[in-house]
Amino acid sequence: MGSHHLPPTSSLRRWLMTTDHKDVGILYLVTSIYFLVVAGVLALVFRLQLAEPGLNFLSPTAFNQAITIHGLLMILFVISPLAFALANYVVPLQIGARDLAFPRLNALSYWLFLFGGVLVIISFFQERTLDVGWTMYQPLTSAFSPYVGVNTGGLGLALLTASVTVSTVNFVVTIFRSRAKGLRLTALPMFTMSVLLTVLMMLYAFPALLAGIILLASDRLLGTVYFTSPEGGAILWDHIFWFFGHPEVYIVLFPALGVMADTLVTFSRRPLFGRRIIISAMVIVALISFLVWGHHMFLTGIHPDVRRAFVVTTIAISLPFDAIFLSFIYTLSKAKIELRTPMLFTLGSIAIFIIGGITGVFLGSIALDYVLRGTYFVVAHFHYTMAGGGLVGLIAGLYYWYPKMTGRMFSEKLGRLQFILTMIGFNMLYFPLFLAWEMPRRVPLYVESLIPLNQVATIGGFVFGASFLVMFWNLLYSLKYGEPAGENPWGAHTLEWMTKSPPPSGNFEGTPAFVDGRLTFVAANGAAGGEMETHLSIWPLMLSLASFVALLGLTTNILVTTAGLGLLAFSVLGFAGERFISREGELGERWPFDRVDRMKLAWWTFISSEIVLFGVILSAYVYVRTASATWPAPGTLFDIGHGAVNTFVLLTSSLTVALALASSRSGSRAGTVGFLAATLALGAFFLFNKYDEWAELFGHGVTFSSGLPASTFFLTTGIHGAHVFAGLLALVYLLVRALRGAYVRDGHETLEYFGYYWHFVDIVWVFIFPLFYLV
Amino acid sequence: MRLWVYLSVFAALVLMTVLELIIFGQPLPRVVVDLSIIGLAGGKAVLIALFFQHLAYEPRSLSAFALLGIGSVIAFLFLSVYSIIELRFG
Repeated sequence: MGSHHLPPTSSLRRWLMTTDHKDVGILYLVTSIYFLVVAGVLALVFRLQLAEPGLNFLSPTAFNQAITIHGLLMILFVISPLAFALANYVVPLQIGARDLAFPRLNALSYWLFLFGGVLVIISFFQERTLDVGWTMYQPLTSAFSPYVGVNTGGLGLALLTASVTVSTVNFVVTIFRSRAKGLRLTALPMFTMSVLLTVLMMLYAFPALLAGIILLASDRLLGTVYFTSPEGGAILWDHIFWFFGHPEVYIVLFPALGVMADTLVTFSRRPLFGRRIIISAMVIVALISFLVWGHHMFLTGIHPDVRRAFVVTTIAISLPFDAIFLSFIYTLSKAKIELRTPMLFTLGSIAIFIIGGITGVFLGSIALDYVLRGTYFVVAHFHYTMAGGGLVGLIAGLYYWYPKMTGRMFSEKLGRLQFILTMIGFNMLYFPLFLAWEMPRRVPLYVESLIPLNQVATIGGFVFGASFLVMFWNLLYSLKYGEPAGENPWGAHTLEWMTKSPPPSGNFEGTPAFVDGRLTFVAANGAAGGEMETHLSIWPLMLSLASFVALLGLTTNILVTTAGLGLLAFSVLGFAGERFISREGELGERWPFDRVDRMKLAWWTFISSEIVLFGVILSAYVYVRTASATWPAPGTLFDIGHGAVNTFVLLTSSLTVALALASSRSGSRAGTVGFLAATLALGAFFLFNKYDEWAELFGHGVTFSSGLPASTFFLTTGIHGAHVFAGLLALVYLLVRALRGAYVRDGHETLEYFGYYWHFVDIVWVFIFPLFYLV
Repeated sequence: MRLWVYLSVFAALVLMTVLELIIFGQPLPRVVVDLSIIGLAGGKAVLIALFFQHLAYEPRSLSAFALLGIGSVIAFLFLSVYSIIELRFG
């Protein structure tokens, strides 16, 4: 089904099947703008409601749904995907690559993102959707939102996390392994550097969100009691959610910082001041971002030591930002600044973010947090950082790379008009909210003295909204009537400007390389000497559609889920069986992964995210056990015999996988087949034994909802069992291929990659066994 | 990778599991039993990662990926559990 040539851009087939990074970038861009319009209209609707406290424009529940979906869409389906639209288009160009490392996975991540968003939108039309704020606090969401739309919205978020995981793996491998020769990691253009740090944060943050959604879905659908019990409840959710949620702030912001840095250099005609300091500061922020989540929990009564620690980390994380923004400002000093539209948005974004950053330091103080928590001061602060720093910064990027994407210039006049409207509208909308700091957020009623501030904010909201209409018109009109842009309209120095606008398939006329710091094209770029690369595949769309149908069925009709699973199985086989060719450049910088092939790096990146997923689920178990006054003694509730047998079985299966690999390397077909079959049998026995154990427990009346010991046991071993089951499906595929003679002469790497997964599942059990059965 | 390495590691894993079960039944202070068993589990995980997943023979940069994940989980576990110690025992 794969194809070598891309149909014209007017062809629907191209947009449904493309795997080219530039096309996928355009798809991300259009879709994120669609979600921007939806989330923006929701914002205008509830700002209208807030124009007067007694206005019955929205019912209280409609108001709650509007603010919740606005927040979720803006953060997860607009700003980050807009950043990834630019990243998809620009990163391979900036590093001199032909495409991302895994083009089909790139298309897959787009389609999963799209269908995740569609599920969230559908949830609006199912009685009632999420209505508890984007933070989905507990037990509001688990025990007091018995609406089917909440389930659908949550499943949409689960699909999004799958998309993010796939995308993260792809960008990590691409940036580490597909750089042009001579392009050292430390010399990456700042936008690509910011994307690298972003995806590394995503790698460790999003599995926590997935873990939280799994626990929440389990509470809602299976009846476990993670968040409905006082020992778990609100504080457990806060920990899990904000462990994801605070790095997410920097995940949203970093790509915009990269845009700012690149545009500052281009339009000030000066090298970036303190480039190494900026990179170091961003690395420090990325690391500390995982240690600040507790400042969202100062009012929950958590241990004072922990609160103090989070105060220190929260104040500490502001210091690297000082270095970053001072470096930006120094870059501008004594420079001949060209105030073109991208630069205007960059400068505007810097100014707005500084206000957001300073007000954030207030919230890092426990004393002030007691006063400001849950008020419009917080709303103003995070809109100044995430919307001002993130979204406005990315608009700078959109204007900056628009000529590269389309080959056309946009209207400077309209760009400036949008900038003026944005600055006026944004500050009219959000600054009054700082002044309305006594007003509780997520409540449509407020005291009459705050009416003027709210009315200014509402008018500002409409001005800010109108600024986007100007941008849409500008970008669409210029697509056809804009002046031809040429290769490098801004006189920029990064690699994406050294090729045609828009770039051809394969991106460059030759293979770019940096020799003694100078760019050269060392060889013809293309299919010479190898097979033609493939650029079209229907399977990413089919896989995503099947996942969407299967998940939608869970909240509508189980037959729909059955059909979805059937389609999913068909699509997985189609994906696996498709002959799809994508090549890595032979010349390139790969430090620090020179000796690690791209599949191996991809698997380890994926396993890293799995470590966090299981780590958070097991931590939730330790947490609720610590919080519980009593807990059944080891051996009284769960049968140690079942657990011990399964431990020996799984350890043995790890040995047989290792021996299958050794057999394939030594050319023994019988050994390969035999050890793979043994692994399959052991894995199946493990699941049977687990089923037997569960059946016994159910027989004794111990179910998902029989208290925390049972809930945590069933959920943790269930998720682990699902991983074993997925491994068994892969084993069947491997075994069939091995029977046909595969993996003996070549291709034994496939068994090694499978082994990484299987051994990881074994490691997880190595911890589950003692934690649930012995201690 | 030589066969004897796989077999030796497997033997060690089985032995350590047996040791976990033996320690479980000993009349020792609960904290000693628990820490010993968790320590053995950690040791088993390291053996699997180093020799079955071949991290012992791969560049350190690859292990760094996994270590960063483990580090973030340890931070999460420690701070989240510590945050409620006083609520539970205080």
